[in-house]
Amino acid sequence: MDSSIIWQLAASGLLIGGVYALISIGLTLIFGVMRIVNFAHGEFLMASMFAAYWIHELTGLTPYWSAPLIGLLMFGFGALTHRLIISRTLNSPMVVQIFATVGLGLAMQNLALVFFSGDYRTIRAAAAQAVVRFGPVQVSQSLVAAFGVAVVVSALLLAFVSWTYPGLAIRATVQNRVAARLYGINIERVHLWTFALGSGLVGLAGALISMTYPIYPSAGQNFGLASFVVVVLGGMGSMTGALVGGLLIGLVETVSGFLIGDDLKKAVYFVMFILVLTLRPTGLFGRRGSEEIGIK
Amino acid sequence: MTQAPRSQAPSHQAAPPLAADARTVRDPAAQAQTARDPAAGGGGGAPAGAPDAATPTAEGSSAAGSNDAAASAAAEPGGRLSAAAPAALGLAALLGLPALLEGSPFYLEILALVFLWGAMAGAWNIVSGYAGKFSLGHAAFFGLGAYASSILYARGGVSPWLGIPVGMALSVALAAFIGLVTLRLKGKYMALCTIAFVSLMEILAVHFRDLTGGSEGLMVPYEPGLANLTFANDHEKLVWAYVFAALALGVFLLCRRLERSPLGYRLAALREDEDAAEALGVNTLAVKLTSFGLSAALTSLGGSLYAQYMLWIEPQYVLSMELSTQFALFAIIGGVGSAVGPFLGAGLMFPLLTLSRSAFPGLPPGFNMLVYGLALIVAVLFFPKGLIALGPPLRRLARLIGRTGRARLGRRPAAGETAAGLNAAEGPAGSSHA
Repeated sequence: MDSSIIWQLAASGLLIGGVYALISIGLTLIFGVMRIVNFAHGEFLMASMFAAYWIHELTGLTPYWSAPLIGLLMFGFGALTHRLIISRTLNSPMVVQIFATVGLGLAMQNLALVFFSGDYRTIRAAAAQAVVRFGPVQVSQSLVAAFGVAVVVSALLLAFVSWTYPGLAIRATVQNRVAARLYGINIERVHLWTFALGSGLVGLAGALISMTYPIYPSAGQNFGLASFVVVVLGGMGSMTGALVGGLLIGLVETVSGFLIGDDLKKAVYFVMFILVLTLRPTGLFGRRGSEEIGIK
Repeated sequence: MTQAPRSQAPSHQAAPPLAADARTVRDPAAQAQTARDPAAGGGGGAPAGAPDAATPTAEGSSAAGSNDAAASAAAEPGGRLSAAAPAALGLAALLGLPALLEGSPFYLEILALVFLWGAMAGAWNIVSGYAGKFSLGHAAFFGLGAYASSILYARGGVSPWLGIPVGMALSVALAAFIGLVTLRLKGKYMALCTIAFVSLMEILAVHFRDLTGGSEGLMVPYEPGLANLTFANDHEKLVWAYVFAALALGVFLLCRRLERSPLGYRLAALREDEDAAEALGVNTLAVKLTSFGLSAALTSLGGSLYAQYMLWIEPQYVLSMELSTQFALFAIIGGVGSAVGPFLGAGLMFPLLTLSRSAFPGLPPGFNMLVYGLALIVAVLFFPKGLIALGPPLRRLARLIGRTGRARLGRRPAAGETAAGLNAAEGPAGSSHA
């Protein structure tokens, strides 16, 4: 095989992996702190993509510039979702925890279908077509940007969680909700901020990928599934895991797409997912036993 | 088919439920037993086989549901059957409906699908409601059943009667695999793993187009005849309404028996507290696997029947997340973990949306699922017990009305009466809170 193809595959795989990582970080953060799986995560992404599309249509602002704004919008949307739905489910039976967000995802996806129809849309900006060359390798500029943001955001998030006081509160809540409360941490506020932060991150991700991928109501579904795979692979709740897992899934998807064809490439990571569950349910970076804690 | 006249009888039985002494309450129950025969025929025999294991315990105690104590406590001797009777009565009455609707294919189709979706929600409920292990990808089994029987029939000329058990066996094997991988883990892994499987299967069904017809779907040959489980156009809908009704009745009776069987008690124990159940000697993995396999087999059966009914299946529907969610949705709206809940949920939601769509043809695509999504959120947040939670208040109300009414007539109230009176209104809601 031509070595330039290998480089090209590796570069594309890593860049797409960076996108998956960016999408998954929010999910894993929410899971780690709140022990809930947001089954509407993909639809949050889809909503952000539509936001980027409409902002570009109406104001001409490219998603690079609207991304922070969309991140903020989704932060607010996440806070609202937490207030209206998630906060009511935290101490509820599992059926409530699962199906509240399943219902939310279903409603969001079909709301988009009702308003925007099922047509594929793309953002026709010069920035969307731009490519970057590294020697023999050619990659889309927007993917490079998404990758860069993914790395910077994960680093910032890790720093935030490791070295700041609110980060300490978040870690305390992860370790032991009751003890954290006894130490005077306002658990409700930690949850609210976590969910809003996780949603804001997916908003950022949605804006950045809106130039690369077609935008339609069920666009989030595949990414949502991919991010579940990434999160389980990396270890639920682990941010390093989300980053590494994302890159790994991106590589696997790109390489298998090249080797066995585009329509089967997603089958490969579902197989990986099932293998991880079989062989190492804690994921690559999950702490031993983390698959069992508190999520009943 | 000869079912029509037979099942009209129960609908007459249903009419005078207020005249309920021990004998008349028992009668519909007996009717239901007869009405179950088609379940064995139409349902390929599967639902009928399994419950027999539970028979000894089920027979005696199925009458008095635990939460029915209030209703049955006051009951005179005849009232002992008051909990089983409403269920039987309700379904027996429903078995008469298809014949009544024969003139209007549109309503007949809605009714047929209510039976099918109710049965599928009931099958989902076995593993998710009774065992408390939530599956978000039950369409995997539905699609597996549909594709197994259809591929064998369309590509190999094998009768669906043989394809159905093949699909069920494959589904049980798949359930066993998913179960062994995820049921040892706590939490939401099973939900995630079932999603992965249904997505994987959709990808595979689209890819192997020589076998499955790809994303354009698979046409099932139209060769009417009982041997092919295909019916000629003139009375097709009526026959299918009865087949699905039989399936629904089969699933319902199976769940009723399950609730009072040793397996049912073990399921309840592990749902409430898995560790405690295990400490008490319940082999939780075996119990979970059994319920999962049972649920998968029934779902697969429904999928095969659906394929024969539509004569066309496409992966984007029979292997979709939407379909999986729909099974769960009907069960949750009706009441998780009860035998009748799934049917109440399907009976309320499906006709409501289908009729509203036909009444307002301008509704955009996606409207139905939007309503489903919103209904799901509202249901789990505010009515997590589902429609069956309305049972006890309605029963109290009915008793109150019955009492005042009878006091006015200067007659002692008989509890058997009120309980039976309820049957007509709220059907079998009683058994639910096991």
